[in-house]
Amino acid sequence: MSLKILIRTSIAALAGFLISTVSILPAWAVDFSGKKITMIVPFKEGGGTDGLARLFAPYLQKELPGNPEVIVLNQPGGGGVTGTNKFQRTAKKDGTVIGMGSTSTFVAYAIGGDKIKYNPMSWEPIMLMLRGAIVYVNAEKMGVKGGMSDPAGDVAKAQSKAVVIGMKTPTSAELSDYISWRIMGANVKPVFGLSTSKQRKAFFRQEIMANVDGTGPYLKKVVGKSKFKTVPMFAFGYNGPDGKRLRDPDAPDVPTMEEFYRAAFGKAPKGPAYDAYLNISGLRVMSKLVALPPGTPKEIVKTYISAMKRIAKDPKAAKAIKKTVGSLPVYYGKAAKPVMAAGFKIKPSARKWMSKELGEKFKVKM
Amino acid sequence: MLDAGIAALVAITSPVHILHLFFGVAIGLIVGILPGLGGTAGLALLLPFVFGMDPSLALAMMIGLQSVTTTSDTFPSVLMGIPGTSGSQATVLDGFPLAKKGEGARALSAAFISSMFGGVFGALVLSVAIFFAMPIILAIGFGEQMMLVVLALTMVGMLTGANAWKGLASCGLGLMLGSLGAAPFTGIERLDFGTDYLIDPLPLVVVGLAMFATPEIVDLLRRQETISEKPLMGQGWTAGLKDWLANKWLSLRCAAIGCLVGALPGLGGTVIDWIAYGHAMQTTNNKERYGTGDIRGVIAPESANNAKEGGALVPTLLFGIPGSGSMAILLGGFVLIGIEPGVEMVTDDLDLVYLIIWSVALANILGAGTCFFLAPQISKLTTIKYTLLAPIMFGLIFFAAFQATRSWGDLIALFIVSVLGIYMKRFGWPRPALLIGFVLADQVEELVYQTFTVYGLSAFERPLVLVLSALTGLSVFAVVKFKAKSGKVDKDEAHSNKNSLPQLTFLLFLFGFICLLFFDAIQYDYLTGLFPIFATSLTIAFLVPLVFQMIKADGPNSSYYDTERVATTSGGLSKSNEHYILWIAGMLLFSALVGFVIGIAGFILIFLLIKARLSLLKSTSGALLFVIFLGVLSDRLTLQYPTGFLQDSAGINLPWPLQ
Repeated sequence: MSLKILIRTSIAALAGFLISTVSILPAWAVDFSGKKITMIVPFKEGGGTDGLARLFAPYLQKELPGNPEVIVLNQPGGGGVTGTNKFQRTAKKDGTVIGMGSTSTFVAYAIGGDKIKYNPMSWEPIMLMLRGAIVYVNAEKMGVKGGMSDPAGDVAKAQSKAVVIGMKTPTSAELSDYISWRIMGANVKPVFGLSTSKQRKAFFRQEIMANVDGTGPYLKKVVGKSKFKTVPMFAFGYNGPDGKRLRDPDAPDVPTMEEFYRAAFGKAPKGPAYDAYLNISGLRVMSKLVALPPGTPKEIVKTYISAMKRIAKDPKAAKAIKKTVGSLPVYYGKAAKPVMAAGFKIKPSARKWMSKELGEKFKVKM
Repeated sequence: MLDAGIAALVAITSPVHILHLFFGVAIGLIVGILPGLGGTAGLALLLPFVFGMDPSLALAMMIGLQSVTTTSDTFPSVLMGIPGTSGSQATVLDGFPLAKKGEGARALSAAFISSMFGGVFGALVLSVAIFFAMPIILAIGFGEQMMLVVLALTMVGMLTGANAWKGLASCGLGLMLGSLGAAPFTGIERLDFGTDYLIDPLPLVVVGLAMFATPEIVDLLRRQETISEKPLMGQGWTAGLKDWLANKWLSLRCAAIGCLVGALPGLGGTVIDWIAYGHAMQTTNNKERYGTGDIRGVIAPESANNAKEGGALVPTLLFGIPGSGSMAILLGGFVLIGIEPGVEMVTDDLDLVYLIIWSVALANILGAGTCFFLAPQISKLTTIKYTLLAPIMFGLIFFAAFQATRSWGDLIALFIVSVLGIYMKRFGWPRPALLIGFVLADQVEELVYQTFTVYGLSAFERPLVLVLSALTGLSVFAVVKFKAKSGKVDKDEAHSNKNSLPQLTFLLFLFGFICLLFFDAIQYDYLTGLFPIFATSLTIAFLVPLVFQMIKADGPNSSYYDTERVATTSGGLSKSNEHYILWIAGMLLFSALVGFVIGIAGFILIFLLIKARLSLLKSTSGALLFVIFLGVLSDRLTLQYPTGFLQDSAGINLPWPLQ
């Protein structure tokens, strides 16, 4: 037996021994006594993700074993990319660092680019919250009725004029809004450089005709707030357990985009543009994620999941969560993975369609 | 309406409310004094405690904090030449020279009374405007916002210094700096030098500190003196009050500007002080005294920056749409205590609206009063030998810059732009003009594009756009008239055209930067590349006449300027700019090795030992005190300071407060 083989066998034996030892060890109780737990928010103080993290922090402190101190650390920059990169690269795997994911970091990941050095699919999800979104229009300027009143007529109106919408950039989350209008055959005219709050202001000033908002903000900040008549057109639905597209329970009267399309065109939407819509609107609805870094031990992940489930049952916390994200489903742990995978896996045909559309219309490379 | 107002006044004057209000005011004053921290950081600090509090108490606390950060930020602006928050950058221009003349007390008291007046005026306007502002806010569209920005740019045309071309080119340079990093329409990073840092544009706090703080600190160090030779005199306090009385109409106009600009979308809080300053220069006599320690240069921005809060609350309360970072957090706080901002608030929760209004007014009075009370003690800072203060101040400004994105990039960017600032000061390039260009860069880019996308040329058919265009015309007229009068050159050494090699090198460097940005820009699509191409072309257009002037000059000329010449002839300056640039670079390199906290502590220790010739014991305690200061802040604000090679690669985990 040569020395090399000897070394190899002993390493293999050692490895085997280690693996078996680890696997037969009893699942020791996770305890965070005296520790400090950091929730990394990749945005400035004051945004939606920050608000949610600050909402969870005191509850986690109460529910995690050992009652550790839980703090929120804001790492702003690059629309969330900088802080998320840092989370992926440096977060400790002992449960003392929690990451917050949100639509903007998800869309950035799905679109890709050399600045993106994270992969949400590699994280250990604790809790994934969906949030519905509604496309609404200035009924007077567009001359439409909205919802299911007269989809065919509304589509004809939308096709007859330029639909002015607001977007942050050609590859930001409002791309779903843009694509849905394109599927309707409308001539969309986006105004870039507008954040969500600037979009809403521009809509109230009648400078953009159509806009998209989360269902919660739509109900609270848009309905009945304009000097002109505002109507909802359709909602970005979500997949039910059987794969069927469902309406948002918080706005049950607003049809899904698919229902609206079927009523207007007499057939179901399909093709690369619709695939692109499914991806990007899926990422938009996939609103907030609380996750642990890749490689966090199972016991710790489990501890977090059960703590989060208890928090979600606390009446006061539940009310606050509902206020932030609405009543769409919440997924815990592994159950979140397929939902995330569906959003992130962009079909080559869909990518090609978006790349061509953005390249031709705005000379932007994807 | 009146009942609700009186009921709210009774509520707010109850001891428990006053106590909460004062607590908020105290925190607000502290974060205002600390450079780099402002209302945003302070409110983030309060937010965890607000949850579950009685709404009216929480409101008193939050509004108290929010209202006074621009009162106490005057301390560092006047006494040290470092803006305490971005709202008091313009205060530095005249406030700091006043302190250097030994009139710091006068400047401070004028500033506090202006702040108080502005704040109370803002509250008054808020109480009326909240009922009528809706249609006005709705009328300010993209076109109107664009013209507001253009108007602001022409107002600061007053800040161009002795040579108009240099001033305009500085402004162009500011536009260029503002175009680095992510393009607003596409998110593509323009000229990012391959770094992650420039995924975002350069942060304002970094550029502001680099333009005003670093060059002033280095300058004072070279003069080897205290900030003020004379100790502050007691009678300065009444002098400041008299100054304010003599300029009460200026103060009122600036407060009105502050309210208006605060409430309107498009400009943002960071330019309000500059607009007020520019307005003061445009509408008053003896303009040449501005920048050399004119009390009006303090009164104008300070009246405006506190009045802004009242104005900014109008859209926040009416729409629930925040206009700034701190308003966004305030809104977050509202939601936490169960208040839903929106038009209904005016009808349903009128008592709370009045509570807010009274809180703004009362907080401003309390804040200014506290500042008056503390000022004699704090003002003694200016009589301390500067070599003792300087290392602490370097520590403070690097800490402040680090608040921007909390990354190493902030420190490096501060260093690089500081070097630019130091040479701009030396060669007479007006730094305020650069800062204005920088602040307005993204607004110019976005609004011009958005206006023409939505309206095309028909934007100029909108009545408000026409009114604003007319005002812009008037403003340009005032600038031209003033500049025609003040075009003469002092026959002093600084403007000599001899030994111009350093100036030409600097100019060459600027051309290099322009080329770099231009050739980077032309490879992008038009949405991304158009603005940097515009900014570089504009800067070139301003530089060509300057170079022409320089070539044509056969004697001292305003196109030439070099403070070093005066310095070497009058003598008394110790060490060169480069000497201190190397000191800072050394501090950064050391930090790269051992992390920021130990790095800055080592810097303070060595600086105090060598430069201030303190004993080892005293130097060590100075460094330790700063480490504790950083430690307390990191603990309270949950900050992680930049780490060095020691922590990253050698894997050493340092205990608090050294990490």
